[in-house]
Amino acid sequence: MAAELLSPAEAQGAAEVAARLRDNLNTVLLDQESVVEQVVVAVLARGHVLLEGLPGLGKTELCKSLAKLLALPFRRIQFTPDLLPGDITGTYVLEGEGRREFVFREGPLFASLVLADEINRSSPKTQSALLEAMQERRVTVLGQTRTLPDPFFVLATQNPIELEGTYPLPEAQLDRFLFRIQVPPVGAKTLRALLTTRVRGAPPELSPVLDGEGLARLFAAADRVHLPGPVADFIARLVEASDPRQASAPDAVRRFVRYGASPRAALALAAAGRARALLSGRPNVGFDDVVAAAPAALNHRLVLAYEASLEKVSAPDVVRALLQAVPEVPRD
Amino acid sequence: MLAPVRRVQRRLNAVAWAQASIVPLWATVTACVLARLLLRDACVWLLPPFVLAGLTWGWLRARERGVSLEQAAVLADRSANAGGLLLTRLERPVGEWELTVNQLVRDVKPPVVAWRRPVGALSGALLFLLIGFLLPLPAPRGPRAPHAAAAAKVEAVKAQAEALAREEPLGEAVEDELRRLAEEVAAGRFDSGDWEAADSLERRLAERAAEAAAELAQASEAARDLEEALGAAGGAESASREREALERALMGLESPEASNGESQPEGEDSQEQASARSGEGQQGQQGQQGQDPNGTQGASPSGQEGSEGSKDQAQRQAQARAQAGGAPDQISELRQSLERRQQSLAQRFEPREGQGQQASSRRSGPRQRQGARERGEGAPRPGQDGEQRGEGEGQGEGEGQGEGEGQGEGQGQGNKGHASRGVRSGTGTEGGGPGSLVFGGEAEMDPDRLAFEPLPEGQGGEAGELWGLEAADPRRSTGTAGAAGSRGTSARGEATAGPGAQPLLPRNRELVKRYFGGE
Repeated sequence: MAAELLSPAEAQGAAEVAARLRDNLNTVLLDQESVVEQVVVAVLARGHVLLEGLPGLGKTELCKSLAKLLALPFRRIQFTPDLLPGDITGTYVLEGEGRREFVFREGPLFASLVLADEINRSSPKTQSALLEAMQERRVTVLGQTRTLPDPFFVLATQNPIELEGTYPLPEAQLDRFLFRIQVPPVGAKTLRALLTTRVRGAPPELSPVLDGEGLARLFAAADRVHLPGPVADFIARLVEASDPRQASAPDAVRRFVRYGASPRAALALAAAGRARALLSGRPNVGFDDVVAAAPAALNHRLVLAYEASLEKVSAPDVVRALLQAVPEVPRD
Repeated sequence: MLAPVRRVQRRLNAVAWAQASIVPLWATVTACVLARLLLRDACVWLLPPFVLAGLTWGWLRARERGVSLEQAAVLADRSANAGGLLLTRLERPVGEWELTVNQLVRDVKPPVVAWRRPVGALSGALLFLLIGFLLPLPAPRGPRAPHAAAAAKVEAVKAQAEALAREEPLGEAVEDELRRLAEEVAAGRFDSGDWEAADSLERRLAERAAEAAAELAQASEAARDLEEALGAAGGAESASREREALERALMGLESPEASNGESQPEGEDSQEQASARSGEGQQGQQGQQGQDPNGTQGASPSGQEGSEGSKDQAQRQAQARAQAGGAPDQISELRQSLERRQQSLAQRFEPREGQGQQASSRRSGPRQRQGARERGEGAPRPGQDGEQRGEGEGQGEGEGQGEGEGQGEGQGQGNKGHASRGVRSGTGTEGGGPGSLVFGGEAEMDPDRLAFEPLPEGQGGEAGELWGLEAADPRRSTGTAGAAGSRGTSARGEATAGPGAQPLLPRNRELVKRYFGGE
């Protein structure tokens, strides 16, 4: 039995809260409305976000501001090559006097909002320690599984240019992220505003707009957003067309994509669509919600072929071609 | 709520169905028009299946291209900028969102569809159908020309064969060949080989007809000779009876007693006979001077009965015939019958001169002789002796050597033969006269006889497609071809012997034997 549809009042209330969160983040991260909106959508969809951009664009500040606004426990992990899995998940420590025993000391993952800064600089072994935490929202140390707090968000950052001494995330790791958001560089106007409004670059003081209970209501409201059949069909066809082996795949996908998006991508699109609909105050997902969420939700799930790098075709370019090729209303 | 969505659906479906119906409609219309052009009235039975098939095909295509309600709802949702709320409304109740839905429904705009192309294509198909059924059809074609010509050819050969069959049996081979040719014509398989077979058969029939005509002419001649012999015998017998009566009268004059009682009738009879003799003598003198009222050209010398009048001659001839027991009448009827059969056979084969040249050249001999004899026998026949008849024959043969003159006079009905045939008859059979020998150069050839006739369609191709066929067109060298043809047929005419030179046929021989008492 489908959940009852959101009433206009509920949808409007959720939209106002989400808009307040978005507006506050926009005061921290200037002239990055799209990035902020996508981050808010990812939070409402309870998804993890991979922020990718040059250093100094405010990625870390965005995560810290989000933690403040949501009043959630926040931890920051600076990933380095010598970082061990136990350093992030926690480990048993022999403690006590007299009768000494091993006591589990929780790692930084045991927080609601975890900032994995420069995640691509740690070893794959450490990166893989995040897999279970991100997907299952629990960690297993020495055979004991421990549940992570709810909500649990991982906001990871990576530098796309400093590739020496880095370990690119494997596809399985990337697939755990709801969005990979490209943080674009800012212009002079934004820099000027940054220089004139902030002292030593310090962001303005933020006060929480949501507590844990309010965030839970937002999550519940997002779950009640209706996904119409035609829109779900559109999502399915979109994900299917991203596979170059499918007959419905457009030419761009056939040429530049080696592996398409997984079913997890379809789930991510549906969740992001619901979050965007909620952010807009609507009780149902529309095609525009899916189209708006598709680039961030699909670009890191497409494994590009060698021809794409030769012709300097990026994943967002392929996603745009995909959106143009797949109609909202199926032909034939 | 559904009304605007259904409106959108109907609009889209109309265009989709119209586009889907273009190909089936054109195919159906084309099939119907072709059926009407090819089958004419029989197309009425084909139209319902065609229409049914077209409708089925169009329905299948339209069903594939039809727009569903869900698709129409998506388009309506997008046109109203409802953000999926109309789609949600179609799937589940929206509760408090109903008012918003109603407001959005009013904003639904019908989609813009490209209707001109499908409507134009469908209109064109219907126009084509209209033109195709209103177009007047040409008159139905009759049997194919090659078959008609073949049928005419076979019919002509069969007619000749029937005419010949009255004179002599044809034989199984000829009948089988005729039957086979008729079957080939009926089956439409009459090919070039059959044409050659028909020509060959016609040629053989003509040759046999010529032979039969020659035999008939011989029989007719024999009958005529027999008739003349009977007439002469009757004349001699009546003369002997007159002589006996005269002797008896003379014996009566020598005995007066007997003459008182019986001489009166005898005397009257002798006086009549004497007067008749004086009349015959006058008649003989007139005949000697060439003033015979019967128009004979024979110079009649003063014979023994030359003074008899024409009335007495007729009476005497009738008396002789009566005394002969009716045999001369039967022989005359036999001769006339033979002549009629000969003419009938000749008329049957005469019109086809092209194929019967050889036969006509053979026929010309006896016919010419016959004509000559009719001319020579015109006057001297009644009551004249063999000397008169001998002169008549000699003169008739002399006239028969001219070009065509002998034949025309012989038939006595103005049947002018072709000039080339006249040449053949004169030089081929009755040679020896003073007539000059005429070669083919002076002959007149009808160019239409050698008119170019292309082979039947399917039996050898068209004239324009065969190399060298145009060069063989006889119209381009009419004079040369006519002269050559005339010479060729003339050579065949010379090779055929006249009927007089041939031995008497057995049936005629039996007739002559009976007449001459078995000798």
